[in-house]
Amino acid sequence: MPRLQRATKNIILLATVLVLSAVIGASQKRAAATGRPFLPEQIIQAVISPFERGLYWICTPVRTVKRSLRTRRRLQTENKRLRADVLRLTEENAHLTELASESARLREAVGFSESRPERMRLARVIAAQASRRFDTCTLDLGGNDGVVRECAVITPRGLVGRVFETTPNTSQVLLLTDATSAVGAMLSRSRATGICEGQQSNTLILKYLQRDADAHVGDVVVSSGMGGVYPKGLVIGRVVRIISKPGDFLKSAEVAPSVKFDTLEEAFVILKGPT
Amino acid sequence: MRATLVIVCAMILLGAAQGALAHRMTIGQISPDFLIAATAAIGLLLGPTAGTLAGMLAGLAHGSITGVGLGSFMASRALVGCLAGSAKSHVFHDNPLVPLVGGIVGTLVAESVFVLLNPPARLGEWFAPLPLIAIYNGIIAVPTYWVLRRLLGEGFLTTKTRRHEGIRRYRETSNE
Repeated sequence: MPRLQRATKNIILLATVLVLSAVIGASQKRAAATGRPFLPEQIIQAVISPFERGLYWICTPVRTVKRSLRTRRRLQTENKRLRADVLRLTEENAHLTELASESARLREAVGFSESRPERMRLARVIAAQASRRFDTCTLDLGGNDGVVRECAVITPRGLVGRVFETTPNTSQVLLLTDATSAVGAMLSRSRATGICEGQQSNTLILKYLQRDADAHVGDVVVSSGMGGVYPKGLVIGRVVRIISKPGDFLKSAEVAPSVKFDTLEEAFVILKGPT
Repeated sequence: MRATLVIVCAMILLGAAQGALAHRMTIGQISPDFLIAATAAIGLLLGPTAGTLAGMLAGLAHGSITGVGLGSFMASRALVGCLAGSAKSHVFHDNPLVPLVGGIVGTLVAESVFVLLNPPARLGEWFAPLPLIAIYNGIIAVPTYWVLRRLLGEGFLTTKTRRHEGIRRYRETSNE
């Protein structure tokens, strides 16, 4: 019996609450329609809002930490991606710079080859300074390409050396700086002649100049064409020092070569035979 | 007296949490309903009378925060509280599945009643996320239930549960 009474009580309570809900719902709708504030709602909001504000205040640092952690993660990912991009672009940039430099060199070379009367072929330097004892380099053209011994090797900047050995596909070049290298040379301005020899260093020496020869620092040294290996008029370098000893009949000059042998990448081989 | 105080404070705090926190605890597009979870928990702990009143308060709080449908919120939540309370004497209170199932079923009932009273324009869109919301609320109901249980003490326990508790304690002391 008490259980039944309790159940009845509960049903009555529920029914009351439902009726109250209906009344409150209707009142709220009416208040909304007339634009008046609904008092119960305002009271409850007044009670709840300080706690809402408190919770918001408590949660703000948590949210900030959470956001900064998320930002950190995002930045880390972004940083990783950007580093990879920088690496890729640096490589790409280096490649493009290389291509641009090669293109400029080849343009210069094409212009040079067209301006020269000799028959020549462009070759790439595939190996250089293989031995400390000899100043030599290897070109990617050989006997199959018409290259033979004693072919002159030049660049638009000036004389490089001569071919001293060939294989079907490559050729060895003795550079001007090698101690065994010698070229018939003359001063471009005064036409004073001598022989330009290598000395296994960065400079050459122009020997056998007459004691009274008109030679000054800065004079351009060109090939004289004597000896038959090198055509006449190819630039060898510039005089940097005059060497004259008292009592000697002859004098010498130290010459800085116009070609930079350590950065040589391409060169023309002047082929022998009819042009 | 203690139970009334706990219910009122819980509803105010959870009402505030519903306004300030629920949208920040969204998973996917599913946000929790603390008030339904608490109503179900109170009903399960204190019976239909307290459940109905707690539901009414929860509806008032939720309706006030939302600003519309106050009556629908009150009715639906009161019904959930009453139903959960009716199950009080039939459940084993130490089982963690009790608040979980209570939260899930409570959400389904509350939202269904709410839809009946306030039919939405697109019924499908309203019901599609309901199972996930119910599960979320069920999960939230578990800690809510245990916190409320701690706050209410053991005065709410049914005779059956008390007897069971007594047996458990007797076994523990005899083992020592």
